[in-house]
Amino acid sequence: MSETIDLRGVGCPLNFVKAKLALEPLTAGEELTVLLDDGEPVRNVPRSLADEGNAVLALGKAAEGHFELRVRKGGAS
Amino acid sequence: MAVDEATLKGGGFIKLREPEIFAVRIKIPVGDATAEQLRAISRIADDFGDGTVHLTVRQCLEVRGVRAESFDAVHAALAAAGLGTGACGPRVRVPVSCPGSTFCKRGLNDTRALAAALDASLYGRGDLLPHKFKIGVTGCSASCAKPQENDVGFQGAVRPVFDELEGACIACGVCADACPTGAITLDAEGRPHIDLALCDHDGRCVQACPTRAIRAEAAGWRVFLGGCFGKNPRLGVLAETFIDDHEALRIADSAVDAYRRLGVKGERLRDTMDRVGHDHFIEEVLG
Repeated sequence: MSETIDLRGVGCPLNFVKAKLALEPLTAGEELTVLLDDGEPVRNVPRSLADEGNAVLALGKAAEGHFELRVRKGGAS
Repeated sequence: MAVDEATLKGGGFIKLREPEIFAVRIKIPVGDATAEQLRAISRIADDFGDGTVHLTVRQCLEVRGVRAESFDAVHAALAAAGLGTGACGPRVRVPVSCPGSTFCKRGLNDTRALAAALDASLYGRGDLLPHKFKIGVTGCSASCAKPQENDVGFQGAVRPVFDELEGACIACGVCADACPTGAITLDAEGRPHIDLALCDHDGRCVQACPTRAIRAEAAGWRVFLGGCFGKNPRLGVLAETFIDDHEALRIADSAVDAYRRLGVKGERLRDTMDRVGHDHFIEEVLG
């Protein structure tokens, strides 16, 4: 059971900053679920987290219209 | 005062309605001036002009109400501030550029670097052309610097490819969502198909794909030739795609040369191209 951070209603680039902060206490290899709004957030945050060396494992649209991102923290484990 | 009218015009002095009164066009490459340069222009407007500074549509500034006898003094004051006058008449004008990748999140290319290089290599070579010659450099298909309206226009562009060489697709569909032209459709498994005929090469799918399953197969500048507004406006013809800065400079230089050789006095590049044939002219330019 991975941790979840709800970033619905949080705009760019603050949502990316908050996702990074949520990943910080995790050790490499641990997973985080991030809830993101459709539109700019889902186009920016997953790719930006990948560019920071994390692995995007899954990204899918939920029934309510937002996106659920599962990301694994990168770096030496 | 021994400055003739041709020298005045070549030196950025534009005749206004009132006799003996000019506007001095000041070149602001890529539209960026330091605060100190703006202070120097303010002083020139106070000392030699009517105290106003006009913003032109092509990212230059003009000081109005200047007399011809101030020609040397104004040029000296501009040079002291690291500035110069902008071209008027049948010459290569100051290139216009958008903020590009330096400042704009949509910008794909460094427009300011290319515009500055074009300015350095083409501006004010002193040779007269058949008519004015304008250059526009823009960072993406949004075309904020309107490259298609210029005699030569450059537009930052990427050609996306879905090949999963750099990462596997997770079927999130964000690429299709990010594409503004509907060029990406998803199959039953949620994997993208890119229709390049619909693609406007803005690179948003490449920027959005979280696994790099869509990447840039080619990137660089698209080149438009013979665009022209004013009377009888027409957009430029796409002549080349995905070239680098070096090739962009060569093509711009070659286009100016071909225009000088093939153009007839008074016609814009668009008219020259219509007369000699678009394919023939593009062949002359690309070599």
